[in-house]
Parts: sequence; structure tokens; C-alpha cells
Amino acid sequence: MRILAPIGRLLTSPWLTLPVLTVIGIAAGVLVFFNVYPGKPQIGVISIPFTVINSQSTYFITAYLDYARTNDRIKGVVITLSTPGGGAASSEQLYIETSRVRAEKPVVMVMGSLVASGGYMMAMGTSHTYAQTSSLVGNVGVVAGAPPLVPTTPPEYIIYTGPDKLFGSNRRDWIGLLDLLKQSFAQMVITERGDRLRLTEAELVQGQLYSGIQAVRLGLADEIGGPTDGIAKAAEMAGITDYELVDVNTEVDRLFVQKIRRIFAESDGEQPDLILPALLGMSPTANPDDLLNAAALGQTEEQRQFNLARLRELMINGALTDPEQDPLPGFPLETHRPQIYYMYTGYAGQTP
Amino acid sequence: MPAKLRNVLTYLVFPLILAVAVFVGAFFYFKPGAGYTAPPPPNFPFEALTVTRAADGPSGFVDQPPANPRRGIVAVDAAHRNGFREVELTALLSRITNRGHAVEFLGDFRPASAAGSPLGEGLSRADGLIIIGPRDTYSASEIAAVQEFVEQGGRVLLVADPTRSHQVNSIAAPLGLEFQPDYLYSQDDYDINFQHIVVREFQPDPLTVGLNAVILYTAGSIKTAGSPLASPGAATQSSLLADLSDVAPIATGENRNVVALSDLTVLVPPHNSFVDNDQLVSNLADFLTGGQRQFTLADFPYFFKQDVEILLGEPSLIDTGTALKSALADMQVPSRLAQREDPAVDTIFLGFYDNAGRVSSYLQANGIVVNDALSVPSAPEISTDDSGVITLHRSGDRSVLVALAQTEETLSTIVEYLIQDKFRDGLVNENVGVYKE
Repeated sequence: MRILAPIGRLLTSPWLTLPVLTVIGIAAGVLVFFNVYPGKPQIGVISIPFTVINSQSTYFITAYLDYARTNDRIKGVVITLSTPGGGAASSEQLYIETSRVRAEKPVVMVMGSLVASGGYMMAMGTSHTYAQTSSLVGNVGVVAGAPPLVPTTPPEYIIYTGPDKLFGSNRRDWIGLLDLLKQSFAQMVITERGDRLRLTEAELVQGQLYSGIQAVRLGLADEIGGPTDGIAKAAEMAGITDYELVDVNTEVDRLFVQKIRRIFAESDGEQPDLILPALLGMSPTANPDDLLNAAALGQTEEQRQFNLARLRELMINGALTDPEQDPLPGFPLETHRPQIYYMYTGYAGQTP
Repeated sequence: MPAKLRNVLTYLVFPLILAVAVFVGAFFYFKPGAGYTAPPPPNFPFEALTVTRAADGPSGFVDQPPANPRRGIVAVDAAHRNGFREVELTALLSRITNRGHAVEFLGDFRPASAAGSPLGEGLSRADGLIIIGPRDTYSASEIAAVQEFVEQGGRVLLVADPTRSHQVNSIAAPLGLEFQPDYLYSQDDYDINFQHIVVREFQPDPLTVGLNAVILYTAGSIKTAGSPLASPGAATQSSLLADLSDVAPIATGENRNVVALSDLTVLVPPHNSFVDNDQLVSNLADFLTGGQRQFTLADFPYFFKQDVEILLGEPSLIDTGTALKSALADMQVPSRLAQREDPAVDTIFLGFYDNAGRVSSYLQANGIVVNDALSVPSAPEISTDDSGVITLHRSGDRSVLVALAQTEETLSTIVEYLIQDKFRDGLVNENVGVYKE
């Protein structure tokens, strides 16, 4: 016991406990900092390959943006984008969602081969934009179908309650509506770009596509650069010196796949014959949740793999058709439909 | 230091060191003093935006057709897959009919049949011709027919629209006009859309009377060997041409009986109702119905521009006269039998050679002599037995047709030829036909 007494005093002595606890504290602090809280800051990278902006692609891009915004470890966001634009409402939604991210953390866009119209509108929601020298940028404006010059009066067995009930508007007011949308698009660009913009409103609404070099010169984009520049800029704007990259697409994709797997597990073997017709016959405007539910009905492993591949295609491209081959189905032949696009159509066809 | 306090401090060391380590660790990642500052929310001036309009609403224009309209026909080419619908021409066609002219569509909007184009035959009775957006080219004979029509004083309106494919230059070029494959636009002076240009400069011409501003909705450029009627204006640009000094959206051809308009929409209701567009439509109707086309006998009965009086050389010709009156009615030419000649009215004289003295001035004007034999220019004398002659005399707007024969039977036969459109076989020149049974 006499031997143990000095050891006990030594252990309770501040000369020993203080250094020991300090070392343990530092070790625990480092351990906590690097592994638990707050973790190494991240730059989230959202990749949007050539994509037509429509309700489906917007669903997924919004999911990417939402993930980047709500993940506290992500301190800055880089979006690589290539798009001809697309639906007006979808394009505006992407602008709004991008702006929401920008309100919390820096968002840098790296423009790919084409960032036109609605895609350029999305770019207006970012903090900084890079264009490549060969990028095609701009195309501010609206394209839409219109009521015919002389609308036909429906037969007597169709009753409608107002002169604009059938077409939604007469041709003149409809074209006026598009003029307002064009102006609001232009004002959005003028306001967001501020003093950087060196185009007049009339020049802007000409709808011209500019090369990346021209775009920077005219203030439509901030700098020439690629993804690496974008990541560095996002980090600089976020004020971080050491960080790791996170592929937001993969993270969100993983969440979707997890959901699919859960659905498979819950419904394995139920109504398996419905899966292929359900997928192949589905409407382009179907709710993605419906698609996921349909995917749960696969009968064989091959079918499931096929369906998963289809769904991944949907996640990446936002559509099951090849968007480059058919960017705007029906346009311009079915121009009577009341649909409005912020889109570069590349239209060079014959007049009807 | 009291032992109790010492113990407390001892146990505070761990969390304290932990916090310090976390704080210091942050410097590995975050730049001191730097950080992201979100920009203020943008303030878009959306409420201040207004649609750019050159016209707030219909102008309230009231068309005023002439009190005494002249009869005539305006033909509308529909034999070349023309790119328009009849309903689109409601405004223009109604004003043409208000000016006393009938509208006749030549063709059925399909390609001309192997039987031939209806254009040549249709032009024989027309005063005016409207050609809109033909998708088929014109044959050499059709071009010649239109050129002859223009030379005779027929009026031609050519319309083509850049938004609708057309082959109008196949007929426009021979008339001294060339529609350009461009469209005109303005970013400064437009109505609702940049392609809806406002034309404010007009050259003095009956076609531009009363025009101060016209909105053209999808206009293109026209080069002309004639005269431009409207200038695009400094604020207007072309989608293709750098210089607009020698083109116009409205122009005459080399012959002023031809007018070209590079926009169809301006004619289509309600687009015709804004600013002075309606005045332009009325001016075009006046143009098409106001020509002084030189008709010949071959154009019977379309040289009659007013109600016709039928004079009979003998009372016994009453049956022949009423038969002709009935046939004219079928051809939309109102007529009545009369006892005395009214020198201000279109007239048909039916009589025997013995009655030649009553119409001698008309016969002499065409070189016809009736004695023992019938003598007409460019033909040998023929016996008056079983023969007859028709001649047309035109003076100003008045037409007088004289038909003489030796017998009632022969005269009746000649009138049948007229009614059945067989009389052209006997024409010896533009104004005289001779017939022998």
C-alpha cells in the first residue's frame, strides 16, 4: 500500500493530469474536427450535360441545387452547364432555385458548348460565370406558337364561355404577352449583370448567340475559364483554402437509387408484367415519382437493370429521348400550342 | 489555489482544449477574415414594363366606295397552289364587291391540271387580277397572258409573304419586280413584335392617298424597275440586306398597272383595322377596280361595265332580243330592251342590214361598209346573203355592240354564237366578226 500511495498522488497531481488531458483534448479535438464537426468543407459540383430544360430535367436539377444548398459542408457550388434552354416556366424555376443557393453560398457557373436562352437565364442566378472561348452564350428572347391569323369558329356542338376561352388569347394580345416576357427576360439580365453588361437592351433582345470571348467582352459572362477555374473561384468566394469536391449528381443519384431499392424490396414480385409497358409507354410529362413506382414492378433482374438504366438516363438527361436529336418535339410544326420557350431552336427549316 | 477550484479547472481543460483545437483547426480550411457575402436580392422593374404598341386599337375607318360603281371582275389566282385562304381576304374582297366588281377565283388551289391553266381564259373577262403567294411557277403562256393583260390596262396586285413559301418571282420578274428572300424588322419603331414594322414614308400616288402610318406584319423587301410606294424608314432593317435604299415593301412594277405588296397579313382581319391599314386596303380595292382595261370583241360580254340597253332594228326581232337579254342575265350582265339609244349607256343593237344607217357611225369607226356586199377590213367582200356581222365600238367607258344580218334567222344564229361562246371563230380583227351560214 505504501508503494501505491505515491502512484496515486502522482496520478492525481496536476503536473501529470494537465499534460495528459491536454494531449487527449487536442487529439479528440482534431478527431472531432476532421471527422465529426464541421468536417472538411466541400465544393459541390453539379454537372448538367447537354440538356433541354423541361419539367423533368428541372425536377432533377432542382434536386441537385437543393442538395447543394441544404448540405452544410458544401460551402460553394460549381455548375457546369450546356443547354439550348427550354420551357419558359422551367427555365425561370431554375433561375429562382439557383438564386436561392446563391443567397446562402457562392455559385459559379462554367458554361459548356451552349448556354442559350433559358440556360442563360439560369446563369443569371449565379455569383460568377465562366465561359469557354468556344462556348455559345446568350440568345435572350422568347419563342412560342401562336393562334392562327384567322381562328376557325368551332362547330355548334362545342360551347365555350368567352372569346378567348379556346385559344387563351387573341393573336395580337398573345404576341403582346410574348413582348412582355422578352422585356422581362432582358430586364433580368440587365439587373443581374449590372455595370458589367455592355449591351443595350435592343442589342440584348436581338437574340444573338455570342462566342465565349465575345460574351466576356460584352459582359454577358465574367471570365474565360473551365471547371478548375470555377472550383477555385467558388472556394475563393467561400473563403476556404482547403476543401474536397463532392459530385452532387452522384449524391442525389445515390439517394434516388436508394429509394428505388427500397421500392424493389417492398414490392418484389408484385405485378411484374406491368413494368416494361409502364416505362415504354409513359408520358414525357409523367411525374418522376410515378416512374419510380413503375420501376418497382420489374419481373426479372434484366428488366430491373433495364429499368434502372432508363431511370438513370432520366436522372442525367432529364428525358428518355435523346435531347440533342429532338430538343423541341413538334416545333415548329405544331406552333398553335400555347407553349412558351426560352430556347435556342437552331431553326433553319423551310417556311410552311 | 483551493483544491476544489483546482479540480474544476482540471476538468475544464478537456473541453477547453477541444474547443481551441476546433477553432485552430478551422484555420486549416477557412481564410481568416474572408467569407461569402450574399448579394442583395435583385429588384426587377417588371411592373414598369409595357407592351410596345404602335396602335391602341382599331382605327374606326369607314370605307367609302364610289356612288356609281362600275361593273367588272377581279380575278384571284388560285391555280398555282397559292398560299392563302379565302377567309384571309375578307376585307379586300368585300371592298372590291362594294365597288361593283365581282370576284372570281381562277382554279381550286391545286396545281394546274393537264387541261391547262384557267388564267388565260379567266383574264379575258377580268379588270383586275390578284396573285398571292403562288407555290407553283408560271408557264411562258401564263406569263404572256398576264403581260398582255397588263398592257391592255388590266390591274395586277402581287402579294407574297416571307412567312409563306412562294414562287411569286416567276411572275413578278417579267413585270419588273423582284421579291427579296428577307424580312423587315425594327427594334425601335414596331407594333408589339419586332417584325411588325411601322411604315411612315410614302410616295405620292393614288395608292398612298390618306396613308400616314401603316403596320406591316411580316413584310419583306421588293426591288422594282418601277417606283417604290413606301420606304422602310431609318429604323427598319432587313434580315438579309445591308442597304434598303433601293427596296420597298410596297412598289409598282415597270408598268404602273402592277403593284406589289410584300405582306399578306396587313390584309387579314383584324390586322387591316389598325392605323391606316384599312385605308391601304381600300386604296388597293380602288386600284384593282379602277383600271381602264381595253377590251376587245373577244371579251364579250365583259366589256359592258354598266346595265345594257338592247335596241331592236325591227319589232320582229323581239324574240331574238329577249333571248339575248335572258342570256346576259345568266352572265350577270343586267339588260333591258329600249326604244331609243341613250348615248351614255352601254348598248347592243340588233338589226338587219337595212338598219345599218342607224348605227353607221359605229360601223364606219370599224371600217365596215354595208352596200350590196359586206365589206370589212382585213377580209374580202362577202355577199350580204345569209351573212351577218358583229362589231364592237368602245368610247371611254361606253361599249356599243352592233349585230347586223340579212335575215332574222341569220341574226338569231349570230346571237346564239354570242350566247354559246362560239363567235370567236368569226373574228376578223379585235372588233369585228363576220359570219355566213
